Amino acid sequence: MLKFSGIDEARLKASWVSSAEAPELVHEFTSFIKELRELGPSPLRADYRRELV
Amino acid sequence: MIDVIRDKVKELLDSGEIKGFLGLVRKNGHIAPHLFQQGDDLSLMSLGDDKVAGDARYPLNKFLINLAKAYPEETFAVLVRGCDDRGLQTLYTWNQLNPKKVVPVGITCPQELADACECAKPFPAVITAGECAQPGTPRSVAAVDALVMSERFSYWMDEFVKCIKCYGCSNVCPMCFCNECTLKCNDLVKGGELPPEIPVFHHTRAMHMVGRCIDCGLCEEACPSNIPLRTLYKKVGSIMEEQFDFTTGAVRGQRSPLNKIDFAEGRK
Repeated sequence: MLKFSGIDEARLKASWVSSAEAPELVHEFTSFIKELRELGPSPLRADYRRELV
Repeated sequence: MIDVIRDKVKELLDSGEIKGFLGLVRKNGHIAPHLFQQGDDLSLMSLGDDKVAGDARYPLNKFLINLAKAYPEETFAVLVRGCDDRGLQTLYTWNQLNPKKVVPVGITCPQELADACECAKPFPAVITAGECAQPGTPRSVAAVDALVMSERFSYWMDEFVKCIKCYGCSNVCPMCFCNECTLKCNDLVKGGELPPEIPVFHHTRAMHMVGRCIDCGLCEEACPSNIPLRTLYKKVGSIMEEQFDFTTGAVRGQRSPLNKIDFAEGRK
């Protein structure tokens, strides 16, 4: 659906991490943050409302 | 076609099999939903074709749910097109209607309507009157898919920004029967903001249409801002078809694949 709406799929990530796997969770977060930084700011941050007024 | 329906309804009413027939009436120049009961004038009945075929459709199944709740012991007949029939099957599956208390009176849609709706099955399972039209060719989803990513994004955002959050789409939707609605929860959707947070508002509704949308297109007809909602939900439906081989309402009792957790627990 994201792709259909023109939003990069790489901006959403689902991972299955057990509560006993803290290092795994940290790794998921840090790597995802890195990936997002590379993608740059989200197009959703633009204020679409302003154009209406 | 309408004469056949009239005769069928008269027969059902006279035999006492049904308490009433939920259909459409032409009154004061308008077509509106109406419950025909014994002794009522069936000559005013309409099939929802005002100027062009099917331009005066209503979510009759939605009214039927209310009727069934108020009169749980009574049996009602209801006018159904292909989409309404898919809706009935899904509402039975979701325990919103009892199939033993519903008598569908099926009509087919003409080819022009099937084409306009891009309908995959423009006729109900049991047809009382009419000839089966060919399924409409899907175009709208492919048209969006043909755009490059950035164009797709601005296409949808330009549409969503028109939203006045009137809730017309969910109010008219025959498959919107939840007692509590995510879109009306103040913690999730902030009140008094126009347009609502986009595209989240519309995507939330799209996600809730998974395995529910029967592609009747009433949402798009009801939308005062002409947002192509049907295209959005058609895409949801096509993903379900591709990934899970599931078409909402195609088979009675067939649950959405997202309910598989029930199967895992052996409740079925």
